[in-house]
Amino acid sequence: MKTPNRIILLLTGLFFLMLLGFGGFVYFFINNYRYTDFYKRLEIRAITMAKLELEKDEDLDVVKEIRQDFLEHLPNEKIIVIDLDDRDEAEMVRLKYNIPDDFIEEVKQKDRAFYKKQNTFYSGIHYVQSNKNHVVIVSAENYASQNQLIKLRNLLFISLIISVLFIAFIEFYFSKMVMKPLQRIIDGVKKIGTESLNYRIEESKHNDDMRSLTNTFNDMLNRLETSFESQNNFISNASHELNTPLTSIIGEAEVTLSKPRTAEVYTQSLQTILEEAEKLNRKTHALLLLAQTGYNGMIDQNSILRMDELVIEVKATVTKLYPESVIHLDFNLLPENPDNLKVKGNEQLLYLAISNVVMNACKYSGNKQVDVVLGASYENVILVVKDQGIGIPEQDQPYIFDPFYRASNTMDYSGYGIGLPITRNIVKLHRGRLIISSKENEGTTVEISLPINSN
Amino acid sequence: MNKILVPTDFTVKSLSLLRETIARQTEKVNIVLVYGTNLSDCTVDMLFYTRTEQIDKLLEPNFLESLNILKNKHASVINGVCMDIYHGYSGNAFENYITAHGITDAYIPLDKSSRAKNSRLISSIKKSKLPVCEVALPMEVVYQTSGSFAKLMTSKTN
Repeated sequence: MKTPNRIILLLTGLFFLMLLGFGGFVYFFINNYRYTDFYKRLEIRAITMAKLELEKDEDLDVVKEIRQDFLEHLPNEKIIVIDLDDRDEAEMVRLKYNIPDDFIEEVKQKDRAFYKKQNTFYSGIHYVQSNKNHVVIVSAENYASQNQLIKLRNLLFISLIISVLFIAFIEFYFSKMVMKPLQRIIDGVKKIGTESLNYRIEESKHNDDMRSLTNTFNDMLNRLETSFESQNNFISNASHELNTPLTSIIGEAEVTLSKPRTAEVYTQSLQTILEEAEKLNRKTHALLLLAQTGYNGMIDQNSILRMDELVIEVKATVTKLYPESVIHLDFNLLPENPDNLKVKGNEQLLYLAISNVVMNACKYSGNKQVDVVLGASYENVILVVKDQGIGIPEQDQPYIFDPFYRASNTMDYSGYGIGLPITRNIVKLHRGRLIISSKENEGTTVEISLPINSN
Repeated sequence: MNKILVPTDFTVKSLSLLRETIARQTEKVNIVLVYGTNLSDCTVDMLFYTRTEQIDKLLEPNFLESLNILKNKHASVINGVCMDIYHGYSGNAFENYITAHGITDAYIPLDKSSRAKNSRLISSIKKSKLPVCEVALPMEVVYQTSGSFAKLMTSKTN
């Protein structure tokens, strides 16, 4: 079922139940009140009648007058006077008017009683006049209030239906109004396919919730588009990277074979071919590693290692490779408890990841100082590597994790553009986070946080 | 035990003042991180005002974890760290605040730019009778993403 219909049904049902309860409540209490009211009226008549029939007094005329003037005739009104002292007659009258025995008993005991048979109401009083016991019973049908009750019931029923219809009508328009921006977004999203990833959904101007929804959608589209692009880039980059050494190998071989040459030239060209083949080998190895670290499960990561030791080892290696680099280890924030530096993982991979980052920092900063800072919170070990190198241009930053992608300002530096993706994969594999912030010509800060071994 | 007031704006960067502060301590201390701000004028806001919620809104991501780095580092010096918001204006109000919280010392940044976000609180601190220590802070590396640990862990060397 569609959401608007469900909302309409739910709310209408709720309103219907509420109004039904309200109407039922009113009807029930009016109905109850009607009984008491009518019984009271009958009782007054009974008292008046008792006075008229049984008392011999001068004031009787006045009472008679009042009765005629103010008490209108009720439908089917009957007045029965039963003399309790005359048993036979009492029994006869009782049977004639079909009055139950226990009703008279009740009147005798309680002085007054009420009783209802079908639509006829009976009200009886016990009247004692000069030591004579009488029971006066007035009965009548309650047509007027019966009619009123029916009218009330119909009225309540009609108003219930009208208001429910009214509410359903309002809800219909309301839900349409609410769903309209959503529908617009749905229509917008439907237009987006793999061919039209550049399309963006129009932002609504008035509705804040909808605007944040569209923003989220558009952000997601941005990310999707970037990753789509990098997928496309990867293939072209990879084939280019693998092709370059192959082309030079083929070219070198063709040129050498074109005519007979001296042994010296052959040696030289074979040397070149070997160099190029080694390059190719390194690249495919790196690619293989990238593929291996790309998914979980293949790599054993059960050894527990201390990050500070790892960082010191990395520093030693990088200094060997780049003797002129200045690496400044800052251990000022190391925790007092060395347990907080222990990380569970694969030592070779983490070593590779960190050395990749530190080597990049050294390579692109032209022997300026590289800060390596280590710290630990209660959950993570955090390693920050900051250089003052060439930085990454802003437009290249979304792509730095793509294999073979190299930023536009790295022409003067050798590299394949495969280190950072490997590092990212390794950090991901260890459930860590890698954040890179950078500004061109100012420097780059790489932040790696890895969860602390908890047991 | 000393209780030290350190102004903060709940950004990771502002913790470098705390870092400098703790580095100068030799005995166990309590720290109160305080942000001075106006109380909302709106009745509804006041009705549903809770201090913790206000602080939660101001907290930069990673602030608490960065605080934990410092706690970890100085585990033997830091006895406890609590965070608070100060809404007062007058000097007397601040004196009351100090007495109520039993604050004994205050550390404030030396340079103007680091004071900007908490200027009213810092001027109250300077006018009060508290022993105040002004600390020079290292310069911020602007390009680093706000809320990253690097804001606390690295800085520009002058």
